[in-house]
Amino acid sequence: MEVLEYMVENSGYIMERFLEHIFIFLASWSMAVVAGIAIAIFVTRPGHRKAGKLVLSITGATQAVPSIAVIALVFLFMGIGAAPAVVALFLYSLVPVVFNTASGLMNVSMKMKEAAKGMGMTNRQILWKVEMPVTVPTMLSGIRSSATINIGTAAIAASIGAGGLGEIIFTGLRMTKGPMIIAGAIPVTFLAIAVDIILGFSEKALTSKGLRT
Amino acid sequence: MSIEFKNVVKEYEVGLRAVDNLNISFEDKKLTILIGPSGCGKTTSLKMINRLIEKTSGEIIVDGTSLDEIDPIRLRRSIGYVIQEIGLFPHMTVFDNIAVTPRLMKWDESRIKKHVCDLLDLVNLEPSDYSEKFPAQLSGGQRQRVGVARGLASDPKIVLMDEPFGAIDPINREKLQDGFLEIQSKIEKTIIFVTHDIREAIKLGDKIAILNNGKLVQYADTMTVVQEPANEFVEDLLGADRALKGLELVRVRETYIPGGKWIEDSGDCRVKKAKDFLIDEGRKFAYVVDGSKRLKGYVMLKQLNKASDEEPLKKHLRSIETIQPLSNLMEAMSLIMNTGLSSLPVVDDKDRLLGILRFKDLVNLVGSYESSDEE
Amino acid sequence: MGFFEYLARNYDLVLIELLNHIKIIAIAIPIAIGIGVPIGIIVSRNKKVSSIALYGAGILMTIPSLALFGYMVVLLAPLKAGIGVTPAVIALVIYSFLPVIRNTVVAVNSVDPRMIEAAKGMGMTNRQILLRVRLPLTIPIIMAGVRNAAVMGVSVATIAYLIGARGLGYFIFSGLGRSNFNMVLLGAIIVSALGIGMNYGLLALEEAITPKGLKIERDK
Ligand SMILES: Nc1ncnc2c1ncn2[C@@H]1O[C@H](COP(=O)(O)OP(=O)(O)O)[C@@H](O)[C@H]1O
Ligand SMILES: [Mg+2]
Repeated sequence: MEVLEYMVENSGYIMERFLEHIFIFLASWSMAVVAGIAIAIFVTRPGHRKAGKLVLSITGATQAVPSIAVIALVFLFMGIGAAPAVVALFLYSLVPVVFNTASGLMNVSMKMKEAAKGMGMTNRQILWKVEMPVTVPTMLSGIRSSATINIGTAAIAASIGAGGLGEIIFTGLRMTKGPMIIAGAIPVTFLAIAVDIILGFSEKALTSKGLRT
Repeated sequence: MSIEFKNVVKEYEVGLRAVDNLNISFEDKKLTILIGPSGCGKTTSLKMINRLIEKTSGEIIVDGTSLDEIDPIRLRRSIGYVIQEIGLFPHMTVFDNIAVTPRLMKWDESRIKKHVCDLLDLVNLEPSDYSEKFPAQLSGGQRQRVGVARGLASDPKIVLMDEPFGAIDPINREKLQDGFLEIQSKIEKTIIFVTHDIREAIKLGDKIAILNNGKLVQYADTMTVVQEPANEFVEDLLGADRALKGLELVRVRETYIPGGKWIEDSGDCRVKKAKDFLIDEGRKFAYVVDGSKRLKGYVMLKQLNKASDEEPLKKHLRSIETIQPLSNLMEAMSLIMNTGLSSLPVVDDKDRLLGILRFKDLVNLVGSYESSDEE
Repeated sequence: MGFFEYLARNYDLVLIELLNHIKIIAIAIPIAIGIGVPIGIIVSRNKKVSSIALYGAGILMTIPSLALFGYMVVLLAPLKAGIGVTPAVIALVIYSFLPVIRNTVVAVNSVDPRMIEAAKGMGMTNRQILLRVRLPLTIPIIMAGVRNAAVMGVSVATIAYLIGARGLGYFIFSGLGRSNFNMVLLGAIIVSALGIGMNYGLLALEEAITPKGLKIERDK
């Protein structure tokens, strides 16, 4: 009840933080998806196999790094505000996208690639007609987890002045104001779950029929 | 050891009999096949013997003792059990897989080691090469041979086998069956062998028990089943080519005609001599052997007529498929079909010509099975 | 004051907070195993049930950690458990459900029932089947899920500083509050090292307990 009261009274403020949160998320995540796929493709081209393996082990290891550490490190270089937050989120979201896409591409069997070559495909055609379609499911699951991680981490980024819904929770915690905490927690939970469900559906829709299990 | 089923019934659900009043006596040291369509109760019958499944009623007696009086764990350790290859433990080496039951029975390690090596020899896997391999490093056929060795590991007097070769491709299955026939002749155990492949049944079984809907339809020697199917169901099971299948039971040595007249060519024989031989004998072709009676091939009159008399005969020699006395007539039949000739040379393992097997005789044999059909 | 001077002066504090940090993980992981593994075993019997359970665990995992702590501060307040180690442990247990249950289901399904039948047919007792067949085959797979959970625990425990659970989050959040760069840097380095170290350490353990025959099968 108190939560509802708080939300109604502060609807303008909450809405602003909500939009801020979505903006930070979309900006950093969309860049991470585009850059991540590009990096993964680049390091898995023929002749770059070593680079590919290196990138896989680096991203594999970085997945064990807590998100707050990345936020903290970016803070040390860029200070506070929305811009360092977007940079930190971009970097952190990059990891699962690169890892999943690159490992998907590296796992496309040599035989399949040779068969494609034997049919007279160019390297470019092999990439778009053979490797990518096979990699799509792994890639999409990387993109999906990168989105939910991003939304959760964006909330924590309020600690370096990024704004967003995390700001409501932080303030609520500091002032031990229960309704305020919940008023921040509910929309950010909703956002994360909604994005996860939407991406889950598109994952199903975009996976080519032959690869569905 | 003999195993006797007395009025054995298994109901998984009340009123539904998977095994329906089964009375059968499996004979000591014989390989008995349990065969029938899927779901007829073969596996259920088999598993009641090592009490993986408990019967609903009736009695099973092993060498005079009712199964109910034997502790199931001890019982199982004393009975070999072989299923499809998947039953091997992937985390254990070949050696450890085979040693499972001996270790459960607390044999001492030195005895286990010797026994496992003997078993690997028996199934034709070199112990020094295979002991330390893992199942993932073996082919399907090799895994199955390890499975057989494991089934024999506790020196059981009874071995139960549930479609052991079912997951193997046809070519390797034949090889495994041949190997198993050889093993069986050495080990003298009471073996109950479940299969749904009638060819496998005829090839391996001393006796065949045919089940349908949980009931025993026929139980007899393999030859009897083939020649005198008890009813239409068994005939259908044997299939349309059952007469041909009878050929699998007969060996070449029982049917071929030993001896005969051949052309001998120690390397210097001319066409003329061969031609004269063929004309004198009134034949269209003849086999050619060397000085030590080894088969070299055959020559045809039609061709020799086109050649000049003084040419060496060697030039006109044509090669031919051969068969050995221990092969069965089914194999001979398919060779004859392939070559299109009216007979097949029978040779020993050093390629010496022993005689000929005539297509005519095979056809007569098949005919005799077929006529028993119409009675 | 330089970074190393700061480190040298606060050496004790680093150790204390490191222990506090690990304590949260060390309490939560056994609880997560104790709840998650039995759930995994139960739901693994039915494909539909297990996919529902995994979907649910997936949703729980999606809840942002800051929000989850927020809920707990408020909801557990009447029990006087809203702040401190308790909510941190609960949060980590909740996040662990997905990896632990998922891997348990995979592990249980990886054991072919026909193989168990073979074991029984050879005269193994139920206890022998459990100890010699089931556990060696399933524990390594379950361990991988536990590793994921423990690595996540490093991150969750850091955030848990905000609700009074102490731990290495102290250096980062307190440092941010005071604009103390050395503190922030120290915190970031240690939690990163702990996360990476936890991952590799448990990975090595996982490799050590994976039977050789399974590795060969896997690498084929
Ligand atoms: N555990 C079980 N529970 C219920 N019914 C079973 C069970 N096992 C087998 N059956 C049923 O018993 C019958 C015989 O099965 P089975 O002995 O496995 O046949 P087969 O090995 O000849 O294919 C089948 O109708 C099968 O569906
Ligand atoms: Mg069966």
